[in-house]
Amino acid sequence: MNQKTKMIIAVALTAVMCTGGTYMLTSGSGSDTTVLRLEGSTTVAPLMEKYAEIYEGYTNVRIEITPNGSQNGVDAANSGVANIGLSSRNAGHASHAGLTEIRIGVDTVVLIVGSGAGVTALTKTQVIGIYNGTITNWNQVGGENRLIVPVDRYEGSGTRSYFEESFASDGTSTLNINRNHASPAGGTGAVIGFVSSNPGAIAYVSLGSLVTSAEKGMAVALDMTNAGTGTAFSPITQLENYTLKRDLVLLVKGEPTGPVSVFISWILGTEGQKILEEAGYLPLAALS
Amino acid sequence: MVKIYENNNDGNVITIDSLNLWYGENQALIDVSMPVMKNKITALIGPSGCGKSTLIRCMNRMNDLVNGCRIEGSMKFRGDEIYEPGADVISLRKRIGMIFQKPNPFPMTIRDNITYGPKIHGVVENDELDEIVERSLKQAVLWEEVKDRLDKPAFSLSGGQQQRLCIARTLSINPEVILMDEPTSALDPIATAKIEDLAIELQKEYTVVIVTHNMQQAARISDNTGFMYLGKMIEFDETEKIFNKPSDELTERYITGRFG
Amino acid sequence: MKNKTAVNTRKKVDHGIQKYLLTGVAATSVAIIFLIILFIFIESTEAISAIGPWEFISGTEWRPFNGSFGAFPIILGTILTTIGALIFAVPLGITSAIFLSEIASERTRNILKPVCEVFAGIPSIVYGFFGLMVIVPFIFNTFPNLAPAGFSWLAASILLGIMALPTIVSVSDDAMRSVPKSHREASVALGATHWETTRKVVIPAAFSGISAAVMLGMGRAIGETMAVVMVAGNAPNIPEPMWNVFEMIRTITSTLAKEVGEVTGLHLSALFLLALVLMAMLLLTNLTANLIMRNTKRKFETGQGMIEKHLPDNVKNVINMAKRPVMLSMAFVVVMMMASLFTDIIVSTLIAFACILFISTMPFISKRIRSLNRQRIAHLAMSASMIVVCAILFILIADITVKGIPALSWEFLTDVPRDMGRAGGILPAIVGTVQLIIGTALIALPLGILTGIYLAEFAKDNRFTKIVRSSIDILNGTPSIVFGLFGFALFVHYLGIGRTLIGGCIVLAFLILPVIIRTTEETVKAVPQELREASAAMGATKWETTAKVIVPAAMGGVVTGVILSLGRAAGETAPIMFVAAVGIKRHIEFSLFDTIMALPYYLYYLTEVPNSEEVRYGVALVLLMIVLSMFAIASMVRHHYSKKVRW
Repeated sequence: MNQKTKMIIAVALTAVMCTGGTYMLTSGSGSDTTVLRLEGSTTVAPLMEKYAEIYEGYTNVRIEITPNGSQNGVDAANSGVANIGLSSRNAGHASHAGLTEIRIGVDTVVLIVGSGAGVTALTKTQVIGIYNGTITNWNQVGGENRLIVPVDRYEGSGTRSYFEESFASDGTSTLNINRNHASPAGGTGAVIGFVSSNPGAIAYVSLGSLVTSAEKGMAVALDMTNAGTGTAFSPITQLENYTLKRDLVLLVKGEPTGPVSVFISWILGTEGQKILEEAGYLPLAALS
Repeated sequence: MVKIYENNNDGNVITIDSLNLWYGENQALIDVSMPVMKNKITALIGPSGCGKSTLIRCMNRMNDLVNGCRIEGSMKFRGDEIYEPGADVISLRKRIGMIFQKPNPFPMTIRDNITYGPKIHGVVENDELDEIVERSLKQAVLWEEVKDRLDKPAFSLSGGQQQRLCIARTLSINPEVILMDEPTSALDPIATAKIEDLAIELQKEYTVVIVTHNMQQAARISDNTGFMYLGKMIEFDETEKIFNKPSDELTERYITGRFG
Repeated sequence: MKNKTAVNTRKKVDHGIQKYLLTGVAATSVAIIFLIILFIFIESTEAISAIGPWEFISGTEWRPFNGSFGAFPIILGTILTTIGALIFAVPLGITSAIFLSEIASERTRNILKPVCEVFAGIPSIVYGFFGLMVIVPFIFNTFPNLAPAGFSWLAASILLGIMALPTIVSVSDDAMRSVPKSHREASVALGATHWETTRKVVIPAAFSGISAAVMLGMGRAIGETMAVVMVAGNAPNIPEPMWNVFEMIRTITSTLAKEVGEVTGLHLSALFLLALVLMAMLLLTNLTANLIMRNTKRKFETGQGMIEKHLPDNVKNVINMAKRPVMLSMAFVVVMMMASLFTDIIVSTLIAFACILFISTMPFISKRIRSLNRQRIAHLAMSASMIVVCAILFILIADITVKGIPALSWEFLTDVPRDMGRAGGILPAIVGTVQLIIGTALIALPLGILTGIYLAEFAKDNRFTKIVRSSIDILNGTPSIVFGLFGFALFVHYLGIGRTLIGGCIVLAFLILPVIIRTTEETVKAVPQELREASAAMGATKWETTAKVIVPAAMGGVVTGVILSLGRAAGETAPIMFVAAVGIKRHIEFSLFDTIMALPYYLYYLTEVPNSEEVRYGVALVLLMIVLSMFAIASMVRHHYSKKVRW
């Protein structure tokens, strides 16, 4: 192959790559698509993913979801980086100030334990003790002789703030000593994965994120009375009596308009709520 | 070919008999026989590629470092086969030392260069090491020039000094034979002269074999000379005879400069 | 007559314009580098004034939500994980390098050396994934009482050590190989065994190169992000006791990775301050390294180091005598500390005594063994090292391949993700990665190659050039997460354009710019002087020589460097995770200002999705295949060019 042929091939190749490259970079998504950016709670995000998959089939709207914790959802909604912020903190939470809150459903927070723990029920006091480090072995709460591995979430997690508030003793946040607490990289999914593989682990997650029956089997019943003398209710079988419930909240700056408003209305509509229920959350209608 | 060694059998330090060597498929030494006589300087001359470096490297088994090198025939050092399986190469090299064409001192101090050999062979006492350093440098006629800077890097010396340092390094382990593979081809005439004088001095206590492509050098300093061509030992005899009345025509043509 | 003048003038003008063009490009590169450094400085000033530098570095509580910004545990975490990584990687790496350089046959070497180089290219998220799936469970199954979570300093150090291994092995091997044959011959001719030659001549002579290898490995460990995020546990603690390798730990890089999503003013500024601290640490490491290397070289050549020269003789004697007992006591303390993690004080002390006894008798035993046998033992140990290194790498590749293949299917490669990634395929991620590669290339190649040519051929030895070189070096050592931080602050925070493909391409281009500049410069410089002289002798201008002779001759090396850099960019997670990538996209888009999916980030994202293990392996496998094939192509290019051009 002589120089000239090589030259021609090189030029042709470069031309093809340049055009191909430019096409790949700039042909655009079409001017008639809108992008809705959702950011926030790793509890609400999977639900939004389900919504997005179905909703995108109806319209030209593209929905992008970044699960990075409720606090980020609040900040992103405030700064405008996201059209909708996702939060798993209760409606009326201080951080939601200045934003429009839209409750779309209710989530149950459960405690899941590893396969080697040997307990099926815990009291509020026991949970506090486990998480502040005074109880270190499962056999101290009626389980196997095995070290407890408490799993925490990152500081921005809505589930974590909810948990800390629910398990406050004497009206203050529980003391979470980070020393012994694993914080696996990532949110809900990573936590569930960790508890599935580590026999001594305990973690708090949203019920809706437990999908398989094996995962649901990890949830323990809770007696939330302060004295520990009440009944322990299982979130799986006795959901009506289970008390750890919190709102799933969409945050918008100002009033929702345009595609945001259409999307939210759809979520609050029959189909949207049905999807929510199938995903393991409680629709608004189910509670007062 | 003249076999003069038959008469001086017990005066020979190294005896080579019908040695053949292959580098892979290529035969580099063909049926080479020669003696190396005690306390004499033996020179190997011949044009490039004739095998003289290969031959000298057989003597301390440096050819072992080359992949695919194969030897047949006999090479004896003090009556023992050098290439016998199980032969102790390490102690062979202790008794047969080598100086290379390009001076190659270690990137260390002058002192450390000299003590390297003795340390490997078990000398630990500092006093003994100091003594060896002084002795070797004096034998290599370098002591006066470096005695005040033994802890300077060896690279701070000139080319000629570095080569004498390498000689001192070889002498530090007290060998019997010193092999020199074109030791002066990288040096200027003054340094060359010094090395040649040194070789003549060393001959009194040691046996020297020197490879050189400089015929005049061979004529100047050696007692016996072997002329090699294309892997064969063409003629081996006393230097005087080789240069004044060579028996082989090829030898004569080389000596008189008609080729080479 | 008229024609002649015209020719001369034209040539002169060409020369002028092109030279200014090149200088302009080089200046742009420098400007960019300066911008980034300046940006980081400016961004951290808020934290510096609000928190105070001393409080920041020494504070022990890192709880930004409560307003406390004590970075000490985090800084300590970086230091500790790096030390652990070096303890793991340096002995293993150097002994393997010795095997490769001095003991292995040509054939073995020709297989193993490229293998090592390829493994240096495995993306860090894949290492992190491997750590999460294999190392973490291994730890909590082996030490259930000490590390019940598995996430630990130990896990991070093992992983970082593995990641640093290929670098250490490769660079040390190069260093030892470049020790001239003449030194080895001289040693052998004096009756030294092969092993003695290696130990007493080759290794000391190669010492500065080996130190460089260790420093490079160390730099890699300090700047590594994703792997640490996945396995360290990320609790900002000071381990108790401080040598407890089983505690969870957090590094600067993992803090940046986990918290950059925060937009809060002071918190963001504090993160920039952390980035600054990180870069200062890297700078310090490099300076210390250079000092050590120079001192060792001087010591080897002249018998004494820089400090030693100024000490009086009796002090030197005391130091010499004290060396052995001090080192033995240090070893004693270390063994005792480690053992105390497992048993009580008494047993630990006994164990420590036993070790010391063993170590002190070693020299005596070793003297009694014949040197040839010593060589056999040494060679065996080096081979064992190499085997361990190969085994680790083999296990990693095998694990991902075996578990990833079941996930691969036509649907997997061509469909969009469904059900949060658990079903469907990964096409948008593949497309996104390709888009990133293209965009990055379009920005980095012209800038980088032209700057490299400028530095090699046109730069004079003046202040400007020195500044250019220093800035390139600084940028080269900057961890990738810092680029991500910079990109986030610039594009998302300040310009408010959110995550975009173009943002990702720009950040990645900055990341690989220094490497491309350096590789181009080195390759161009390596073109022999004879070619330049021949061209000049025929009356060509400098520009013509450069364009028509030098650059084509250097093309092989430049192309190789480019492919390797782009391969690395393709595997990066940290720079793009806040700037361009989003977890799931259900549509393929071709727009510069849209977000993208990318394979490395997708892998990270999937670790948060329950029940997605098979998909994760599939993604890891696809990413691995893309990156490794780019490296293979680069190798082939290099090989082809090195055969073709013989001078």
